[in-house]
This record gives sequence, C-alpha cells and structure tokens, in this order.
Amino acid sequence: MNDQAITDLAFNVFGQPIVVRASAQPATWHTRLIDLMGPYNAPAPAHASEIIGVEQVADATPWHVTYDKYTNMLVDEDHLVQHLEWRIFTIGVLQSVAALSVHAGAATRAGGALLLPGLSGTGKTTLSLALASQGWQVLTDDVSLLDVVADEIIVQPCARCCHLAPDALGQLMAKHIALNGPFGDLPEYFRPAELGQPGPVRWIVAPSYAPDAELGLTRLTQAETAALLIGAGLRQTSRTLREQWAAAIKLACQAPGYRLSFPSLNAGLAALAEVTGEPLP
Amino acid sequence: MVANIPERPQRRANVEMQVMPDGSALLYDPRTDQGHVLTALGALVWDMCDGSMSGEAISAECAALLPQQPDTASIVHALLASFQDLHLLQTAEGTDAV
Repeated sequence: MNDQAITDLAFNVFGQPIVVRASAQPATWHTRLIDLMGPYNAPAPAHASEIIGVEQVADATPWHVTYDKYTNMLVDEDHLVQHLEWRIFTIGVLQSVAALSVHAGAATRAGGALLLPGLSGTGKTTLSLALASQGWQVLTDDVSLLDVVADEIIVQPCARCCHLAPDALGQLMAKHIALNGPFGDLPEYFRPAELGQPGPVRWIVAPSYAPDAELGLTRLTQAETAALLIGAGLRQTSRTLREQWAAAIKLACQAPGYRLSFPSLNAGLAALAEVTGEPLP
Repeated sequence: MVANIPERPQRRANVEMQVMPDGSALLYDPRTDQGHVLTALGALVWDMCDGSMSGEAISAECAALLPQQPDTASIVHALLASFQDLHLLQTAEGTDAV
C-alpha cells in the first residue's frame, strides 16, 4: 500500500489505541464503521502498535482484513464492518489491564451491580437490556470488564453496540426499553439510550434461555461460581490465568452465584428480582 | 478414560487447593492453568491424598467422618479416578504425572 494513499481510522477501546489502515479513497464502510464504534472513535495516536489492514481486491471475497499475520477474507461490506468491529473489541478486551474480563451482561441499581455471565445465545443481552424496565441501569450486554477498587470488584460500563435479533428487539420494544440505533447501517446493532455508572458486583446469575424448560434457579458454591466466571472469561493476554483465577475467586467470595434457566423474558426478570431481593414484577 | 489409581494416591506438590469461605474448594493446576471445583467431600479426599493411605483407607475414613453421606466408597473412587485422569496425582513411581 502506498504511504500517500492510506488513511487511518483510529479507535481507543479500554485504553488500547487501535488503528484500521485502509485506502484513503473515501468509502462508505469508513463512515459505517465510525458510526458503529460511536464513543470509541479517537484521534490518530502518535504511535499505533495495533494496526488492522484493510484492502479491497478484485476477487469473489473482495475485502481482505489483515491483523497479526492472519488475513480474513470477507464477501461484502456488511461482513467487513461487522468483522472490523468484532476485531477492534477483541484486541481491546484481550489487551485490557482489567483484573478480569468476562462474557457477561451487567446492570446496576442503588450502587450494586448484577452480573450475568454466559456465552452467546444464553439470553444475557435481552435480559440485561430488559432490566431497564425494572429500574436498573444497563452497563453492558456482552463484555464486562472487572476492576478492583477499594478492595471490591466493580464492573465497568461498555458502550459496544448490542447485536439484537428481531424477536429480541420486539420483546424490548414491548417493554419500552429506550435504545439508540441502528448503527453502522446494520439493522441489528443498537446501544442502550443510557448507561449506568461502574458499581460493585453484588449478584452473579448465569442465565440460560430455553423456551421449553421450566424456570430453575440454583445457588452455586463459591468454587462453582469462580469456575463459572473463568469459563465465561475472555482470556486477556495482559493477565496470566493465575491472576484471572485469583480475581474470579475474589469475586465469587464477594457476590453469591446462581444458575438460572428461564423459559421467557418475564420469568427471567421475575427470577432476577427474587435474587436481588426486590418484589416480583 | 479408565483411571489407573495409584495404590496410595499422593497429590502433586504444586497443585494448589483454595478453600472458599463456604466450604467449597478449587484445585488450581499451574501446569495447565486449569481450576477444578471440589465439594467439601472432594476437598477432604484431596487432603487425604498424601501418599500414606490406600484408596480403601481413604474411603473408610471418609465414611467414618461422614456417616450420613450415602455411597461414600463409590464417590471416593470416582474422585480419585478424576484426580488421576486430570494428572493431579503423582505417578506410582513417585514422579509427577505428565
């Protein structure tokens, strides 16, 4: 790529400066990515150590994305924008200096946070966002960065777009959840209209949505809770696994852990209200 | 996997046990960076894997300590088999399992 024909799109994710380097020729995907990344757009850093290269070639898979020796080939601009957003956040999370980072939704109320760890498809996004209908403020729907502050583990807000399937979006609209978007010209990418402030984790509930299952809420031992957190962990390269285990153990001692299987959104919210000591909605 | 449980199970020296305030426990293996959840009985069995007792003796000791726990012998055997499968025990020759 000719030096005079490039442009850098710069982002800062969890303190990590990341650059997407592409042809300077104006392209719609530049605008779409900037829109999708929202508050994570940043001025170009003086020195960027994390550079993602994008090239357009005459090929059946015209978008080539290169990072750290590997090249991904994408078939169209939608996939390109989605892939870049995922790649940027992955770099940011893996290199973050948080004590622990997990796949988890989170919300806060009255200074205490509820953490919902789980992998994709467990219903944590819909539950996290729907908690706003119960007086909670959403912190994140998918990536929770946990830090130790005053000897307590707190969860940080994350403004990454939520990926909402049409049925989940319909359920949230029915509960009048305020969302902004869609962003990036991608019909399933939204952000909560408002994010809460960091708060100490007071409850840990691992949700599992299964429409044919009965509602089930099981208290976990502290050892099971720590193992659950590591199982949902994002394996930061900046932290050894021993350090991540230590943080998970500390958090498991700080907040009680539960497993929740729920057949519907309302049943899940009712169970969370029970766990957090609030009247059933 | 069928575990070949040593005659006198002995835990690997560098596997750490973290007992949580609620009595549950975790074993952390620094060689694999993996943690393993233990019940209170599992923690007790692990503690007894010091190379001085046979599996049967560990079973009998656990049954005596926990008379209300049903089927102690099969639970203890399963725990020892799982320790062995996870390479948490020393080999019969007294060296760490690979």
